[in-house]
Formats: sequence, structure tokens, C-alpha cells
Amino acid sequence: MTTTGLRLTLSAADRLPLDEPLVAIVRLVNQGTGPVTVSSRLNLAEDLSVTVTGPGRAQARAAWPWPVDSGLRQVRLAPGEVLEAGVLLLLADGAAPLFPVAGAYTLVAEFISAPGDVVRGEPVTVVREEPLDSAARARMRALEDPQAAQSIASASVVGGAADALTGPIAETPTGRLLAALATGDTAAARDAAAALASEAGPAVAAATTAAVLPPGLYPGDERISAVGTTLAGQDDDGRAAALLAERPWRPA
Amino acid sequence: MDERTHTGAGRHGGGCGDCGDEAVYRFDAYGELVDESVDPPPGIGGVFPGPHPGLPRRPCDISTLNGSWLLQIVPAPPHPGSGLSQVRGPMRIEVGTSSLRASGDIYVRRISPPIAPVGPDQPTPVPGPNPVAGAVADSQAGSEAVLSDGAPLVPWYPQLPISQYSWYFRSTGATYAAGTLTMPIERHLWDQTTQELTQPDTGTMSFTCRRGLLQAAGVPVVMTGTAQIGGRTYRVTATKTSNLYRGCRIEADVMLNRQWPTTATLCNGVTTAFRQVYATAGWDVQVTIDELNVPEDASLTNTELQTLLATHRGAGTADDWRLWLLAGSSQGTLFGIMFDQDAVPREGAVGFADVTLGTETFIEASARDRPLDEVPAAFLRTLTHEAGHALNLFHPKHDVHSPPIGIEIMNQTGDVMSFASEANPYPCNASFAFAEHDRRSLIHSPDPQVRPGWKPFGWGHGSLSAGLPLPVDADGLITADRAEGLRLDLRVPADVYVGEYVIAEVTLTNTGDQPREVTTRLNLAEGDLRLLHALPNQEVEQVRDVVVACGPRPTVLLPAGESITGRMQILFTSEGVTFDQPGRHRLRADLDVDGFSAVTSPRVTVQVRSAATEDERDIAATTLDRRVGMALALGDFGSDQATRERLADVAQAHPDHDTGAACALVVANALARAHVDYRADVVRDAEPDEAAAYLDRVLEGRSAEQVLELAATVASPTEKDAPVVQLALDRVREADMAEEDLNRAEAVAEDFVAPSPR
Repeated sequence: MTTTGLRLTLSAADRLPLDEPLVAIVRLVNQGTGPVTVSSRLNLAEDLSVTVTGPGRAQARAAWPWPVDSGLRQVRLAPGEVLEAGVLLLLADGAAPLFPVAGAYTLVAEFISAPGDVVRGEPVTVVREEPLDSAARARMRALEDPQAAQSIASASVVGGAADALTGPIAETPTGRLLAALATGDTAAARDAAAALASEAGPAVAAATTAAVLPPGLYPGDERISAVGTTLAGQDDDGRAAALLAERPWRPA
Repeated sequence: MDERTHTGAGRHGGGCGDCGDEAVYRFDAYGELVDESVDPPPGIGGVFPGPHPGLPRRPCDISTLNGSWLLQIVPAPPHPGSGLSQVRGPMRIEVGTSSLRASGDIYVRRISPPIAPVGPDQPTPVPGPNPVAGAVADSQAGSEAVLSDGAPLVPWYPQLPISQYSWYFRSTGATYAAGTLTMPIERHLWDQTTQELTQPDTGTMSFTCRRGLLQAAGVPVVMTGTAQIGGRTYRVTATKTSNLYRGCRIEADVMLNRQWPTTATLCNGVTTAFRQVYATAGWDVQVTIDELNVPEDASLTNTELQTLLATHRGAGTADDWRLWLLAGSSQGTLFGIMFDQDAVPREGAVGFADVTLGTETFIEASARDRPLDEVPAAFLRTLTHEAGHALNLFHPKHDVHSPPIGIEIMNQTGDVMSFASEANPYPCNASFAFAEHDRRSLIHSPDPQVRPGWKPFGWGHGSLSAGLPLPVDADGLITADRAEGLRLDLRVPADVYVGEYVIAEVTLTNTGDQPREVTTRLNLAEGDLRLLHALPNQEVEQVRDVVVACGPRPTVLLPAGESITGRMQILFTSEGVTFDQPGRHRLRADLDVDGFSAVTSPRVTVQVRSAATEDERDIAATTLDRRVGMALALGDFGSDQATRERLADVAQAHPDHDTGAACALVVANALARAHVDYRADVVRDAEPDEAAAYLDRVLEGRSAEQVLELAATVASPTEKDAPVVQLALDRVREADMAEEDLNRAEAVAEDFVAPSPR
């Protein structure tokens, strides 16, 4: 069953080498004529799921590695308003790599806006490319390391992943921000967010942060605040701020 | 009471209690009752003489079947070598109001001779009782408590070593008539290499349960019967161990100034506790509050939680099922998390005491804005929920089986809150029981899925496996016991391209405190070592050399703490080109140590990619040729001049690449000796100067150790006198190499002939 008027979209890079972590943006839009109250738990740990079908039709589900319990959070979406979130597409159930080999993958997002109400997005294709040089392969291997991947997903350093986080993973703009969030270095997170924002826009930097620190689960986290402060100057339409606050936003 | 009406274990008193059960029950593949008749088939039922004249025995009431059993399986008649295995494990029979389902997990242990004969008439040693909760008074076990007899006073649950796991089975129907339970089974074999269930087949099991009119309390019921497994007949013995199905110890630690919800009084006035909640799913859990003063930490990261698990969990035996739970502080607004997803997963979970419930009207008035540990029912719900994750249960909304979202334990609290209202607020509206989907998983899912510390979270929620059933005897795929006190390590490059020369290194270490006599055949050609290779498509291959030698097993006494090492090329093996598919390959080494026990290495991953650069493509174009591959595996091109030229081309064009160097060393090895092809009547003369020239190319830019590693791996392990190893050693000794490097090179050369302990 689907609540009338809600639409879910998943936006991701068309092509991305395997040595870069993929962060997509999910958007729930109220296209109806009246306001609707929906779950605001738009993240993989709670009410969002992303199914990934890869080469050879192998299917996996994007996952946050640890099952959690949490309370109810809801938001009222006025007509035309959107709720957006970043989603880290790195790990499958059991903490296995979500994109194990190069190739074309089809991504489908589903969101439980309320018990019994499932909103399904249109399939999106992402081509994950083989890294060609040795540095890129080292980055890919670093991302495949379970401890490094879990560190990114949990925004904390798991096991012996510190070297990978400050080394190869931090060599790409997205990886740099995720690594800084994991190591808890707020100054580095500010710099990395600014760099990513200048390359891809403040919403992408905000989505990357929200993907590992869902704002509704980690309200008041100093890393979210630091990134928010950094992006404020470029966030003309308030989209980044909404992403960092699990808050509705109205596109122009 | 009407004897025709089977009321099952949940409605104690089905049948007529002590007087036995003479009705006939048939259950379908889903375990549901489909037929019931009062008249037993002709010739069965009634009073049977017991083992001693004058002691009549009657069929057990069907409710007696309900619970946990130790199942032991022996061949009937015994077949050669059968006494060398112990085949046993837990069996769970769930008798419901109108259903009967059975499942079990079989563990196989090979017994090394010499040993006292274990004939089919002697009981095999069994795991000792592990009372989880002491004597469980069933009346304490919860509202859905199973009431039946035939269990020992101190219930216990067969929990056996993971390394001995062999197969899982479940009933696909059942008939219970006149004390005889007959059930077709579906069996899923466990593959030790992939650590997955595989290869399903079918069989049957039949048990007879009879009891005397007078029963001493606490004497466990024993059923005997036969089984057809893999085309063979076995005798089966089942000894009842509990009226519940599975057990687990739970150690609870509590952070300073937080409360563990020992009991919780629900809105309807009923008091419940952790143990009662799990008893509704047939689990016997004993919660022991171990520490009440875990140091204060206002916010806990997963890493900190992992550290707390490592430092605060008490000692336990290796085979006991046990779980660590923490009443901790907070992590954002999470209520709880099953944080343990490391190499030994699902052993710890936490509930967060400090997070506050909301102020919405759907929260019960006295609970609004209160910390979770001040609302015992809410905190208990979260803790039982997180423990459920540690037993591999999913949120219904995340479960691939798509059970409905509801108010039972495994729903996220937020989802339960979605069903709450001002009239029926949270936590009053929550059910303190497991949904049927989860309950069935807890009772009947395979041990690897459920047992904490085994398969990772997320395993077991797809279909088990598919494939053609093959007859396999009751030992399953187990061929040798796991050696204790030995460790095998496999080292391979993490990243290779298709067609690249790949060296694998295998090291056997004595981690015990006594010297061990072990094989020295650490190579793929002599039968003791194999590589278990899982391809990207999940197919599994066994990798051995292209030649297989036979002969007595040479051994060495391996002192405690020392190791022996063997090296081998795995570009071209019994599989052909081993890594011919791009993608993630997983390898394990498996070594038969002494004919009776084996040791397996941890899995290593090799990421295989297509040749990318011009050099790599040029090399691969040659090395993927079967004849070139065979020459690299044999260390010689024989009389095949075309292959010699192709090897020489790669050696000359790519001396910087190890694959080019390996080609050069094959040519050098071949040219250092004469060769006679008797079939073709062709003689190849030795060309020592040419061999030396090829060898010199290899020395450039390489350490002595690297040169010897290449030389010792291109030489066939069956040719201990292959000239290339000695020639390479001579050349590096002549060259200006560092002494330490030379020492390592000499060790590699020694290991090629016979691995030496170091």
C-alpha cells in the first residue's frame, strides 16, 4: 500500500570507480494536495532500504552493519515539500561489500513512510568501474576491508582501520570527508566538507555527512554541527541545512 | 478426556498422560496436523512387553516428544571405519496444538586410532550436560510454557564444537502412531570451505518411544530407531535433554548508575522478565547480572562497545552458547544496538539506558520523557530485541521473508509506537513475545545461523541452497578431525591480474606446548595439501598440482612454537588457470597433518582483475596458453619448442615482471638438463650456458630471497633435485648479496627439498 502523493527518488552518480565510496541522495516528495505525516527515519538503519542488483543478477541489500532499536520520529510534509537524506552505499547485509566487482548495478529504494505504506523509487543504474592504477586499487582494497568499511558506516574507528582512513580512503573528496567523520577530527571534517562542497555542492557534502550520522539519530553531534557551520555560507537555498537536520525542505 | 483429540504440548494433557498415546497423527511438510484417527493401524499400538518380562511398556504420549534431544547416529550394520566417527548433535521436536516440526544439527568427530573399539553397541561419548538454568520449573517458563514429561531434572542442551559441524536437517512431514515417530527429512550438508550449507538431500528417521507405567521423575526418555541417510541405514538414539528447545547463557553487565530491568510489570499487571520472554520461543536463557559498575561513559561508540565486550565479558567454555548484554548509557538517540559484527560476530549487544522516551500522547503518561531504564517494560523490550539480533533475527521490515510489521519483540520500537495510541500507549501496546516467524527461526534454524559467534548477522534469511542431491553418508563432508594445537596460514597476493604468476605460501605452526609430528608435504603435488577455492560465482574448486605424487608421508617433529613453510605456484594447477575469472576469489589451505587430523587456514581473498596495462596484456596472452601454463607448473617445456619460444619471449620482453622471471626460470631449469621424449624419440640436450644466461636475467633487480622463491616455485615439488633451485642458490651466493638476504634465500631452498622447523 502506498500513501497517495508521495514519491521517492534515488540520485547517484552514473559512473563511479570502485575505489570511491558511493553516497546517494534519497528524496521523498509530497506531490499531493494536502499535508501528510510520514516517518522521518529516512536511513538504512530504520525505514529505508536499497536493493542492489549487480552483474550476474546477484542481488544484495544495502545495509547499515548493525541492527538498532530506536523510537518513532515523524515529520509533516506540506504539499511540494521534500525530505532528503544521504545514503551510504558501501555495505551489504553481513558487512560484505555491496559492489564486489566492476559492472552495471541497478538500485531500487524503498521507504516505509508508515507501517503498511511503502513508497518505492524508480530503478537507477550505476556503473561501478574497475580501478586501473595501483593507487586506486589500494583505495578499493582499503574500502573493502571490513573494519575500514564499518568505520566509515559508524563514523568511528573500528579495530585497526585508522591507517586506512587517514591513508588511501582519504584520497578522494568523499572518502576524505567520511574518513574525517570517522576519526572524529572536526577540523578535518570542516575542511573536507568545504572541499567536497566546492566540487559537488553543499548538498552533496551535507548528504555525505548525514549518510553516516543520520541527524535524527545523532542530534547535536558536534561533527554535524561543524559541517553545518562550514556549509552555511554556500547553502543559499537551505537544502544542506535541512539535510543535516532531518527536516523538510521546499525546493525553489 | 477424548483420546482422539491431540491437544499438543501447549495444552498439556493431550492423549491420556501416563497411559500412553494410541492415536495416529500425520503432519504435512509444514508441520501442520492433517490427519488424526483413533484406531492405530493393525498390529501396532496396545501394551508392549518391556525389556523385562512383566514390565509392560506403552507408547509415549505425543507431548513427551516435545523438547530438546541428543541425537546419536551409528551405522547399522557397521561399515568399515564407522567406529572412527562420532555422529551426534541436538534435535528439536516441537509439538504444538496441531503441529509437529523437527530439526537438528549434526556434528561429526573423527577419532584418531589407537583407541578402544567403539562398536555400534557401545554408546558414543556425548557432550556433558550444560545446565543453562539449572532445573527449570516449567511454570516459570512463561505463558506459552511447554509442559511435558520425560526430561531430566536438570535440563541441558547439546552444544558442540563449531569445527565439527556437518549437517542440518528438518522434517518435511511426520507421522506419530503407537509410539513410533516417522519423519521424512531434508538434509543440508555443511561445506567447511565456504562455511555455507549446500548440497541438499533427503532421508527418513524413525523413532520409537515407549515408557513403563511407572516413571521415576527426572529420568530422561530415550527413543531408538533407524534412519536412512545417503542411501545407508543407521541406528538412531535420541535422549531427551529438556522440555525447551535451545539454551543460552546471558551475562549482563550494567554501567554505573543504570538499572537492569530484572522484571517488568506490564500495563495489564502481569510481571515478566527476560527469561520469560525467551521461554515463549522455547528458549532456556539464564541471565546472570555480573557487573553493576561498568565505568561511566556518557556516550558509547561501537568501538568502545566492542572494547567493553572484550574486557568485561567473563570467561566461558568454547562450546557454550553465550551472549553478553550491556545496560549502557547512550549513542545518539538509539535505544539499543547489536554492535558485534567482527570476525566472531553476534556475541554482544547493548540497550541504552539514558535515551528518553518522547512526550507524545502515544507514550504512556508515566513513561513520557523518562530515561529508558526508568521504564522497565520499555527497556526490557529493547534488551530482548537486541538479544534477538544476536540470535540473527531481523526487524520484520528488513527481513527477506517479509513478515508483517507488528508489535512483537523484533519490531523496532518506533514501529511498535506507530501502532500505539493515547488509549493504548507504548509500551502498553507492545507484545512481549516473538512473532511466529521469529519463534520458528529461534527453534528450528540451523545452529550456524542462531548460535552467537558463528555466522554473521544477516545470514540465513535467504533460501538455504539448491542443487542436485548426492548420496553422502552420515559423516557428511567431514573427512578428518580438526587438529588442535596447530595453525595453518596461507599467504597469497591480495591483487593479481588474469595470467599473472602467483606464488602461495603455506606455513604450519605448532601453537601447542608439545612437539608434534607433522607431514612435510606442504605442496599441492603430494596429496596432503589442497587449496579450497571459492570462485566469484561461489562455485568451489579443489586446487592441487597438475601432477600428483604418491609415496610414504615424510614427517618432521615440529617443536612447540616453531613453523614449517612451503611455497608453490598457483598460476596453473589442476583447475587449469586458477584465476581465470575477474572478481573476488577466496582461498583456504587444508592440510592433512598426519592421516587422522587436518588443519585449515583462515580464508584469504584474492581480487582478480583483467590485465590492464600493455605489458600485462602481453604477458597474459602467453601465460593463458595451456601449454605455457603446463610448462610453468612442471618447470619444464619438455620437447615443445614452440612453448620454449613463447616462454623465452616473455622472459626477454618482461624481465621486470615476476611472471617474466618465472618464464625465464622455467627455461633455465629445462636447459640445465637433458630431456628425452621417448614417445616422440626426441632428445633435448642440456644447454648450461644458455640456462645460466636466463638465470642472470632473473637476478637483476631482485633480492636473493625473491630469486629463490621464484626458482623454488617453478620447480615441480616432485623433483627435489630440480636444477634451477641449486643453480639459483649458487648464483646468488656468487653475487654480492646481503648476508641476511642470503640466509633467507637458503632457507627457501631448504624448504623446497624438505621444510625445516624454524
